[in-house]
Amino acid sequence: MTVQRYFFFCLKLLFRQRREVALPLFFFLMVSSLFPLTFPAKYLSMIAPSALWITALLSILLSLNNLFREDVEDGFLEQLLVSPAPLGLLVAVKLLAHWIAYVLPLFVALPLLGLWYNMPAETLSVLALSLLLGTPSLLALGALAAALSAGLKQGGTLLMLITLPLAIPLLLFGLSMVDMAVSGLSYAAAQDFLFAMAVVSVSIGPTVVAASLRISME
Amino acid sequence: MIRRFASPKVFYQLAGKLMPWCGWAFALFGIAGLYWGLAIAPTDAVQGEAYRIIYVHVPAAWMSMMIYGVMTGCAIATLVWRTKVAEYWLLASPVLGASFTFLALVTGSLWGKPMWGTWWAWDARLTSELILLFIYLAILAMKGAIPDQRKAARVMAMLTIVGSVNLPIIKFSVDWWTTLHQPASIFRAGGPSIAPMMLTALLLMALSYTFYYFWLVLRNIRVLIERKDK
Repeated sequence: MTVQRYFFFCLKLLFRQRREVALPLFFFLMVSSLFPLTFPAKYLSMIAPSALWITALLSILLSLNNLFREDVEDGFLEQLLVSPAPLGLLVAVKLLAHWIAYVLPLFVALPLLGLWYNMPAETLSVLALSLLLGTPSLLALGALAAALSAGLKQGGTLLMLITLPLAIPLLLFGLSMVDMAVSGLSYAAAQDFLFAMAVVSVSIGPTVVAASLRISME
Repeated sequence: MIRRFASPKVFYQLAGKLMPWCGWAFALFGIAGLYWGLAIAPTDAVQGEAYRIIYVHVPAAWMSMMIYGVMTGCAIATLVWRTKVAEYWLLASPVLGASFTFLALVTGSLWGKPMWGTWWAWDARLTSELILLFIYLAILAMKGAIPDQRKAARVMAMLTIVGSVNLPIIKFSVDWWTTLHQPASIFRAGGPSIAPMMLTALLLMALSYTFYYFWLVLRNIRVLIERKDK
């Protein structure tokens, strides 16, 4: 299968499972609604960026549970391993499709959440930018964990356990971007750092994930 | 020569010979270090007697990082050359690394209460040490979930390497916060700023901890090799 055809194949598959694909988005919306419900209104604007970042992080990790599960169960992954196309490229394409199906909808939901949290549009746009720069690295880390825990019984829990400590820098730099913007300072440093991590993740992440898949399918 | 010791059978014999030496070195350096630290070293001018917990705390924090470094080396050997002994070493290490990290956190917390007035603060060093503990625990969880030992070692190797790339980034990211922990006083440009009597006790304890690690890691590896042979 060529890389290009595999990309459209992934997208088509995700589109056919759109009910399942929508679940992490519902999770994102539901958990995001818990903070305005439970926090006193005067503190809400202070915790809003952290609450949204953490919720987005958890919802993306939830979505990664499905990343390789079906491919392992029906043996499609073994076909990919012996395919002449480089596995790293196939993984990259799969992650791109995953990003479109699971992460992009979070951005569509963000304006609504901005209303819930009563966030100014400028803060919300910086938050969206920080998520945009942070999610590629997050997806790469999560995919690595998903590859290493593929086929294991407690795979979902392990995925969370592995990814969360490693994802802390993304969270901190993402939130420092928003903090800086709120206090009217330049957030270029944190932004550049997230961008650099995204570049590294996109360029070597898929290869590392492919190597991990080979290890766990041995 | 290295290749010869990398064979589990030879290494099993070697480990059996080295273990008693490590055990005795641990005990002797430990007794000397504790005596030096608790009885000979002077009382700290600012912190009084309570500072003496440093002799348990600082070597534990060093060990938590040293073991991760050793594991990273083993992880590379596991993935690149598939060295069996490196795999065993990697399987045997994380539980010890996690224990030392836990010890560093607990003693640090006990020290923090009289000095800072709080058991815990989200300060840069404390937070990165806590995250190191989480990474050790994630590696251990992975080890527990995979029944096949060789596969477990390779998966752990992958995780260890990714973690080792990430640890400096974590350190850097949490360092952005204002920090409560005292700056480095031993490994710094211009030589140690700590009193020589205190430094001696500290180094004795560090040696004792290191031999303790080697003692237990060799024992763990021997158990793993024995279990494999059955």
